[in-house]
Amino acid sequence: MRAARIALKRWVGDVGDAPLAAPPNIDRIRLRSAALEGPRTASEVALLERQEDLAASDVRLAQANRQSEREIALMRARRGEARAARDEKLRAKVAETRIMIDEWQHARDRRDRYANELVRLARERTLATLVAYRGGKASLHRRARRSPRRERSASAECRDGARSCADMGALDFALPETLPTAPSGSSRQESVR
Amino acid sequence: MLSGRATSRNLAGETLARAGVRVVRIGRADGRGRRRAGVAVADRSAAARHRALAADGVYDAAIAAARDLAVAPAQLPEATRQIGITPLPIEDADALSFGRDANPVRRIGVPRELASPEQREALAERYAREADRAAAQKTATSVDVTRETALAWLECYYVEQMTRIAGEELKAAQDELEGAESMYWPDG
Repeated sequence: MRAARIALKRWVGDVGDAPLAAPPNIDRIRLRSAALEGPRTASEVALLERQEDLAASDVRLAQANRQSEREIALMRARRGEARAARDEKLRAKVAETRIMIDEWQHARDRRDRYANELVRLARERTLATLVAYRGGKASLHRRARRSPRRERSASAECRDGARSCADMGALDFALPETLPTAPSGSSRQESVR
Repeated sequence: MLSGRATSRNLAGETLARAGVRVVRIGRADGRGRRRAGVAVADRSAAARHRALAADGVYDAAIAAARDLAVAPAQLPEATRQIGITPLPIEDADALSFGRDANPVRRIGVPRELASPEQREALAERYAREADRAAAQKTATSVDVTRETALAWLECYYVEQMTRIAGEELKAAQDELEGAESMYWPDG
């Protein structure tokens, strides 16, 4: 736990020692698989695009300055490299992000299943066991003790699912404001789960 | 480049603000039993915003400089090539002669290239692209800091949640142990 706090303080300073508030909503993301190849999806890709533009302007400048053919060819080669780097980064980012969206959906489903089914079931079973024990119809034998344990285990799994889900939330959250927004109905909700 | 620790923190503050995540310091009782007012460090505060803007200034200065440079070539006066060489002796024995003049002070002109409109335009465009790249770099750095901060926050949050559940497990195990012992030794 200390390590996590130290990592947080690296970014936010001493305020990282304070108790944390409720987490942001991670059930909605702005990214959509279909829109990943659109403009300015990833800031790294956008940066490489600008790099390519810069290389293209170097070519035009060399031509305007009537530099030798060899120098102009060198500039053109640099522009080609910049374009290839940009295309490669875009492909890598699209694949990486699609995988993350997929994992986010699965983690969310897993968390919801635990929260809505398993945790609730385990809680009801614990309650029933407690009622039976208080009513003198059950003893503290092994089976009865297992119920609360199941409940805690399901709760931990639920948290684990939420944690996996949150990674994608962090990525989405870090997107620049200029990103084209997703269709209505998928905007970030204010409520905290 | 934007790599300073303080700068990163400024951007991180903006991060939490954008998430709507408030880091709240709960008021604590001091030695006399009085409670201090809780300090809500919501990073929407004016101070945090001011720091974030100051951090942005690092990039903004680079962007503005490149944009200024992009404008400059268009505003230059038309360059003219100087014709003639001065001084040229015309009276004495060295008249109209360049080679025999003992005067070492002679203007030796470095030929200045004439910038054609095409060259100026290309140069201006080059600086404009430089500015665009600086702006993209600024965005990329900001996104990196935002993502890392959000991940660190979430890691902290979930580690604390799991620690709490583990604590409950431990307490339950201790209760079970006590229960088992009391059943085994009912008189103890």
